[in-house]
Amino acid sequence: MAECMGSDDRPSPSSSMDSSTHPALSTTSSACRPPARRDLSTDLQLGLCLSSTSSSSLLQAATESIPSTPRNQALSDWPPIKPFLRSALQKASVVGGARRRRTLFVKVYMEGVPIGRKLDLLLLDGYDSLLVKLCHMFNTPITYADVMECHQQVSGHKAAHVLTYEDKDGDWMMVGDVPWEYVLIYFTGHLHFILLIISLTHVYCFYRLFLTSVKKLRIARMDKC
Amino acid sequence: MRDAEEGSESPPSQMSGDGPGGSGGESESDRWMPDLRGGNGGGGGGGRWAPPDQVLENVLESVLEFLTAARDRNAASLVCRSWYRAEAQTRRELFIGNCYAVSPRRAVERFGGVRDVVLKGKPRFADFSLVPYGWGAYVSPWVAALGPAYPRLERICLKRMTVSNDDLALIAKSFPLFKELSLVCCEGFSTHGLAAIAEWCRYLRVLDLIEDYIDEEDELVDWISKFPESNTSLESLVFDCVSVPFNFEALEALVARSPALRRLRVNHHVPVEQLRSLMAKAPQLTHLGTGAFRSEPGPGGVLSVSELATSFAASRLLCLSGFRDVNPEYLPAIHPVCVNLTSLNFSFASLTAEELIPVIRNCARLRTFWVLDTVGDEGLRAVAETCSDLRELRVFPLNATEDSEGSVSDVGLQAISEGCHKLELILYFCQRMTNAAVIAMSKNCPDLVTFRLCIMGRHRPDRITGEPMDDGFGAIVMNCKKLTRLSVSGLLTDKAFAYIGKYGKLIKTLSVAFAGNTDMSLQFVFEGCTRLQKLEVRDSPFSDKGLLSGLSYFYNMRFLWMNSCKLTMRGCRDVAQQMPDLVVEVMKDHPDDEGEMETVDKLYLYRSLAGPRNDAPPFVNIL
Repeated sequence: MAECMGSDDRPSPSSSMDSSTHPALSTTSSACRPPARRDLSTDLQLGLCLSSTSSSSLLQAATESIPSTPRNQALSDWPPIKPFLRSALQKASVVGGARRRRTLFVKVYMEGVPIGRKLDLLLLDGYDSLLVKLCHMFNTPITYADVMECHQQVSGHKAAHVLTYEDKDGDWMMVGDVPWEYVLIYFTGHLHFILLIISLTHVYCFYRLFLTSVKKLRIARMDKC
Repeated sequence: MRDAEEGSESPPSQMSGDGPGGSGGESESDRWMPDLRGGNGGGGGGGRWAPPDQVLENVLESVLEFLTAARDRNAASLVCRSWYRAEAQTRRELFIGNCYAVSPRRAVERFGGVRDVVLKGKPRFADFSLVPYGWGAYVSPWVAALGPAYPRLERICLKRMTVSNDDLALIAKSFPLFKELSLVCCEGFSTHGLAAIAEWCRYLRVLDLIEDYIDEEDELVDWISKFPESNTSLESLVFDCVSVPFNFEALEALVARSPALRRLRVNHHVPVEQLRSLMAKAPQLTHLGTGAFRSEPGPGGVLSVSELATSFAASRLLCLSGFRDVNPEYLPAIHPVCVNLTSLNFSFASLTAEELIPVIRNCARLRTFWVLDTVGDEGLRAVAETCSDLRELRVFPLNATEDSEGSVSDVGLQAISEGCHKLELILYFCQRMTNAAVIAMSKNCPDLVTFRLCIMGRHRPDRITGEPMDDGFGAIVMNCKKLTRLSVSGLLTDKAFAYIGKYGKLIKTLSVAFAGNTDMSLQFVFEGCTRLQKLEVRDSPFSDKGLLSGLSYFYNMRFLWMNSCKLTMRGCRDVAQQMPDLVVEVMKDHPDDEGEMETVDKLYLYRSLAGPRNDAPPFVNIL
């Protein structure tokens, strides 16, 4: 089930590391790029150039590092569960459980408001639902890089705030600038990321995965960007 | 087998039932030859054409055909020799609860017309790795004996036996009319054996592989392609435990040409896209094992929930299982069938209460429900509110350790007892429990036949009062008058076993782990539980004294298993010496020490007509 996606397909050049991904220079035809719901099938290949041995050994390492019981005597024959059920469920709690059971709370601050909120990113499934959630939380229209152009072209409607995030390096970046493929490569060192790649079937993994590296979100005023 | 004396009530004819009658199969000391001429006396006017005995025996055989229950047949066979013979010729199902209790040759000699064989091998604690690999329970000698004796054999059901590919091939070739093969918790075979069954059993109706361990050797055989190319008689194909990949196109084709197929359970290599295709080819299915229940997009793209729901709406399903790697987003697809479902198995799906509740709210007719404890007490409450007809509930732990958080507790058990009054079987794993909840269940669910509570923390007392769990289990045996199977756990003293012995008169199977404080516990059980057949004990402080208190009861039981208790070789030898028809097997985890006083790690004793077996591995010492 947990098959390695050690893919032989090389990524297409257009989505390689070097191409610019700033929305203004984007090669897509429509100015208003649809957020998040892209065909990520090619994106999946990218960054997944893992050989089967390395990925399986990583998975092995991950499984072994999961502590079975803190007690000194971990009994393999108690409680009385049949081994096939025990191993099937252990896999479920490592892989599937990690996918669904984990939470990823990030702090969200709005500029000018000292008290922040917390948001579980794993409950969301893309940039747009993140936006919707935040708009509800802070009762203000928010945008991010992808749709900025769209808003600017539609007359009149101007979002008051833009969404930014602080990444691993501590830099503040605008959300949506970086398409998924970049971020995957950038955060590819994360063990959790690799684990989910191997068991991959669900595109939503990526959103959650890369966001595990995100520490904070900040809603910044438009005029300050 | 004792031979009964002549029955007190006079038989219809004037025959004396002591003689061998017309044909003498067994050697008797006195042979009474019937008077063949002028046969007066009833039995249908034998006269010169047949001795009255013979006619009576024929009549008897016709009558005994209607007796199906083994207990009734056993009783009938004790009436007299004639009845013994008649019963032996008419018994169709041969049930051997312990494959080492009788030799295959003896079984085959006694029963002439068997069509259906059920064989059970290893003790149940083998499921939890307590019986070392290679212990035994080989089916080979049985197949070798059954083949020549019962060429018309139709059905074989094996539980906890070691079955090799050669055995399966021999079964396939020995029985031209073979119809049903059921392997439960077996091991030792691979897809090679399955291919032999598929290829040679042309009339196969049932192939059920349940919780077996399939050898995953290098070369996988495409066994599904080996089924007959014409329409098959398949009614049930269960292979969810065969964890290796298989040829899906072959399965599709097989399903399409099996018009009688009612039950299909596939393994986790089947995503929803393929499942939908199978459902379309077999709209008459009533039992479906759904495989992974997540999407693996093929050329057609990702299957939408509504498309899958359409498939379910068009089905006639009553029983759903599988969900081996479920994507909860697809769960709403089963809503159309929920109202008709009588059985639902979510024991491989780690669902939250929020994911379960929309499904279970529709399942008002549910009778059997298997689930993981991830649904929590809240999920169980929803079950209790909807499933008032529930007969069987099994709650398994996602994290089968002692220190995990544990999401179900006494609260869930109490809720179930309040909603499901018709409950007959419950298996419940939890971290914490209270006597109050168990007592409530004993009062609210009087129809309980099987009560298995596993408090995963060893020696854990009542969560609220801190007392042992004696009163809870005591209430169960007192109030549940139909109880035949009981598994106990938590902190228990001798008092619990006093209750069990006093009130558990119908108990046939008792499982004890980490319980009791003195040998009196065992004594209470042996003396009180008159119907006890199977007793399995582990990690409890019982010594030779407790063991010996059961001497006069061991012949009434199928077996006794004890591991990690305080038994010594001396006590076990005592038992072996005093009970000649008992086979006493002891196993040591570390075969280093010698001597009489050394402790015995594992004891397995069982009554047997066959004597000590000759296929025991080196780590088994038969006393």
